[in-house]
Amino acid sequence: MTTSLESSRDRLASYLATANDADAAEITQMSLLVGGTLQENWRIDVTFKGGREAGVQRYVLRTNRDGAIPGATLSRPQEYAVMKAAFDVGVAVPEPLLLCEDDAVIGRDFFTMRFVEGTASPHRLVREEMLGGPHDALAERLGKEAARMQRVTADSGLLSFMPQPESGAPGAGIIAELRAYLDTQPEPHPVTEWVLRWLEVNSPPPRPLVLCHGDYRNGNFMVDDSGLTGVLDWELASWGDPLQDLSYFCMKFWRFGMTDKTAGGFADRAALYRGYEQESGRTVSPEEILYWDIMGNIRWAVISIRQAERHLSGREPDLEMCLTGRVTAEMELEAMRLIDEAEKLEANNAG
Amino acid sequence: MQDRPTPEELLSYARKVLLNSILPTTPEDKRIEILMIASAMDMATRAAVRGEIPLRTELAALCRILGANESEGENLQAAVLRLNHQLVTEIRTGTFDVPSPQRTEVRDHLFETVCDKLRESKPKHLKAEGLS
Repeated sequence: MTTSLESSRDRLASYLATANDADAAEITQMSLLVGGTLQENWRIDVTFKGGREAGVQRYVLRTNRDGAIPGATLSRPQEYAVMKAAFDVGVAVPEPLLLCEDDAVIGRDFFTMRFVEGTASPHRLVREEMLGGPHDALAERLGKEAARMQRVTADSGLLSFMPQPESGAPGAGIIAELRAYLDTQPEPHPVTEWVLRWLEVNSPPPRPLVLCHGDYRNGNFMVDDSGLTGVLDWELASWGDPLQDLSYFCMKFWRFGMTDKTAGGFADRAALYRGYEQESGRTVSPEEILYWDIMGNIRWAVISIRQAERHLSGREPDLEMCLTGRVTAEMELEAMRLIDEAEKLEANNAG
Repeated sequence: MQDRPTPEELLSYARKVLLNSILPTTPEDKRIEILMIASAMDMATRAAVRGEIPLRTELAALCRILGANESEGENLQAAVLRLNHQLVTEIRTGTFDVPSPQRTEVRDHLFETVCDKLRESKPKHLKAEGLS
């Protein structure tokens, strides 16, 4: 994989020079960053002579992983458009810079963004108290970022390539999409189906749809010693309910073993909500968020089935994806328990 | 009958060698793969020990819930698949929507199947959740 981009080094440098009106550009460093099962992120250091970016610049180049089959996620041009929309409303995303759809450059679509300092390691964040600044403040900030991205609304005319679920129950689009995928699989998943049916029957009233990150969790944002430096990985973005991302952020699976710290394993979810409420002016109710907690778990359960299938089909043999098939039950268990909780809450409210 | 070692004995010792002799000499960037291989062997060991019992139990529960019978000569795996397909259809079409003893029975059966999947794949998770 390393060679595939390195063999395009000169063509890439020349593309960057032209796109930035520079006399010349030299790539002085090119290295593959860790992480990403679907995408590759490369750190690229470039020295420009003249032009808009004159001097030394540090970028990240994001492209499909070599051999990865495009699936249900956004394409690179679509992800670039989402990041740009989020950047424009003030979300802390690495500044998106250039989108290239010319295969002659590196052989695949790619985009560049400004390099941001820090680490996205969830395991470090849950263990290092000082990483990312005071953790309650970090969670509050992430709540504010979630509120900011919701300034992009489905009725804004932006990002028209993202499907708008038919009007009706807010979870209906997701439920239909997950079922449609399950129907392509030879093995039935009765527990996942049970949870989807519960979500269908217990859907909350519809609200205006907003931009959701879709994978908003510990591991998909960068921090340094002072705090948040950027929200990453927008490939699962979609229109959705305002509470979707907040709930997903708090999923037990994304607490990396620190289950009592309900926001990403590093803070209390109350801090995340506080930030969100301050920025959005909306109130987060426990009953409403519980619905999305169940949805988030079952959505992840289906993603894990999908990941395993990519390996099992023989298209993308990969040990990690293969093992992911065996984590489905963790999310199913959590969803079943949350349904019990929701039903108890409802019975108490009714009684 | 096969000669010993049993599948469990084969897998568990191979895993021990992998973790005790191979892992310490493995370069940092490959350690995670060794740990993933060990985890896969762990699951396969537990599956070997459990044999057909979980599937037999699931089949019996499905027959009870759906009022179905085992088809003669049908392979165990195929029978469980067939009845789970039927169960999924019933769930989707709302057969168990209304509170009833049958709904409770299905819910309890599904909860048990999740726990059982975790008994094989990740018993530690089940324990951490206060279940066994």
